[in-house]
Amino acid sequence: MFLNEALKSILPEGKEFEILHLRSPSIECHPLIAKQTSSSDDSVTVKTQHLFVLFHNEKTIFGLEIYVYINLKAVNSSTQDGERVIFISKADTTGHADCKVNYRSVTKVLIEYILSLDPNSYLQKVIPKRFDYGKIDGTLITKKTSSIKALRILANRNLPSYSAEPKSQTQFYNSYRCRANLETKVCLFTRPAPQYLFPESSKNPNKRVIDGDRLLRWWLSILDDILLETFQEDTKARLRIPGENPTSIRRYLKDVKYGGWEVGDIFGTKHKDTAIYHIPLFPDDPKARFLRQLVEENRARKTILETFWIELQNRQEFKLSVTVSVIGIQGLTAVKSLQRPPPCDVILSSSRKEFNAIKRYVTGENYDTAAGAREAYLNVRDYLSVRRNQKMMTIVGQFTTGCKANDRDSSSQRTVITANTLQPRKKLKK
Amino acid sequence: MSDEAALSAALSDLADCEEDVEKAEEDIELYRLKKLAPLYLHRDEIIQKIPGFWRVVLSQHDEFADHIKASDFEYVDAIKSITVHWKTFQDYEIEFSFNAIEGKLKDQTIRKHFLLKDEQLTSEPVDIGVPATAERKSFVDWFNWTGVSNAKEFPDGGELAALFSEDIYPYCVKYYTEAQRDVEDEESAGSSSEGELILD
Repeated sequence: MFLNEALKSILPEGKEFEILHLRSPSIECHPLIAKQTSSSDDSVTVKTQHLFVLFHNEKTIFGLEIYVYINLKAVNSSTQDGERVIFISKADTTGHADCKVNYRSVTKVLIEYILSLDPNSYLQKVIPKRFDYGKIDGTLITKKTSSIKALRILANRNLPSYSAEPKSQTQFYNSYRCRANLETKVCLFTRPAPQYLFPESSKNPNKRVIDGDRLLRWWLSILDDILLETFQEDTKARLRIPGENPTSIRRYLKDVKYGGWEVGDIFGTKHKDTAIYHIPLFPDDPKARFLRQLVEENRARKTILETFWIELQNRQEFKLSVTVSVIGIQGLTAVKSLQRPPPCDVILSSSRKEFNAIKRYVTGENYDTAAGAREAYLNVRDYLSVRRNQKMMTIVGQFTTGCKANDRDSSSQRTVITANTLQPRKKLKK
Repeated sequence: MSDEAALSAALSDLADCEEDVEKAEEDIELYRLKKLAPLYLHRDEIIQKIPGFWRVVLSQHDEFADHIKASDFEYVDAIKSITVHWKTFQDYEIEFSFNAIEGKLKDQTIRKHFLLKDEQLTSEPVDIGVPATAERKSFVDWFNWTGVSNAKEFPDGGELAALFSEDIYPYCVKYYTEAQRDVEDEESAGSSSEGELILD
């Protein structure tokens, strides 16, 4: 699955777009779920961030932020077993597009693209959780090296007599291998907000801000399609709406096409289980914020899942009566050939600092007027050109009736969106 | 002495004392400048022999990047040297030497004067031979920044001046070496909101 192929099939015919697909370096992080015992184990969690930004007519129009975690169960054994957790963090539009774009399809195609990537592509040159600075060669510059010492090291390296073998940085980073087809979880927290990625964009009268109910249905229909087209048939699909009873939650599942949807979540089945040992800690996620609060209040070990979900809905960050939901998918993908992303598909940032610098060009503007959307585009374009000698990928849309398609009328578009490399085994709802 | 009179005298003494403290602090500032001036001068001479020094420093500096357009890096890369000449901390000039950019910028050295008075920083426009841009204010427009004009000026130009004089110039060596790290930082350098949960 190539990014440009996938996108042009759903972008309006004849219109030109540019896509930024930015990827952070992979980094070892804490386990997504707190461990019950402190016994040392050899599991490793690797975190990578993706940012997709779509531009049209030199303006930002859409963005999607996704975190991919590869959790390797036992790196010292030969099983290469683990799981892939895809956290869909934020999707947002600016309202500054000069043509109609089906953002539902764009979001779906980008998630499918992420699903089509070989998890091994995240496991090279992984930044370790902690460097053992004591063991790092004294001729290398790290954050522990003083300015003066760094200058002496640099001075030495530039001596005409300096002939030490070129230091391989790779020895300080880790590399792992895993099975290509890992069990995959897709996690999402839906909550209505005026803006997620583009500050002040809600003040743009052309941006459509939707309520919690419609947001939930929007995401549900995207994930429903992905389940049918990209996952194997025994895949779990779960929906939980904190504060709602199962009967009302089932109302939302009336129109889904995949047969495996149930009320619940993929984080733990027993109500009496301790929440902290089952709920993952994602960045900027209401569930994680609540977990942190429980720890502060010394209630973390006492709060069971049942209480967790009830209390979550009552947190101040949600307005009363607003619909928020937790959606989860767990299963194996039906993607035939998982791939390493072709170099043309992705801008691999050289460091997390660079990733954040480029991201800030996009998320640091004000989007109430088109000027901010244009400023973001120009900065991203110019940065890539001046600093990386790179260009964003240009895509000319080929979708013929897309311009008048309704976002939620998925039935009329389903045939067009099928991507080539995906071999769906459909389990249709009876 | 009545209680009131005693308090009055104490407050008056405190005012006198504060005047002396302020005077001492001014003296320390001037001493600092005097002590550092020859060292900075010597440092400027050494830096001239390190190719690309300012390019590295200014590319490393996130806050500086926030002030300029990405396209401005072309001008930033042409900076040969930066020097701050202080009369006092409130009255100083920043000197820039540029390499020529063909068709865009001529080889030149300019000084831009800044004066902090009554908590307001002002400056005079300096012509670097690049026509002012209309809408998107660029780094080259900063040289025309005055802090008092009603016309649209380079945004937060005073903050950028302070960034040069208080941070980039004094600590340029730190930024230079930070940019030369062989090994990238680990997770603990990330934001605390993403850190591991510590249970008891």
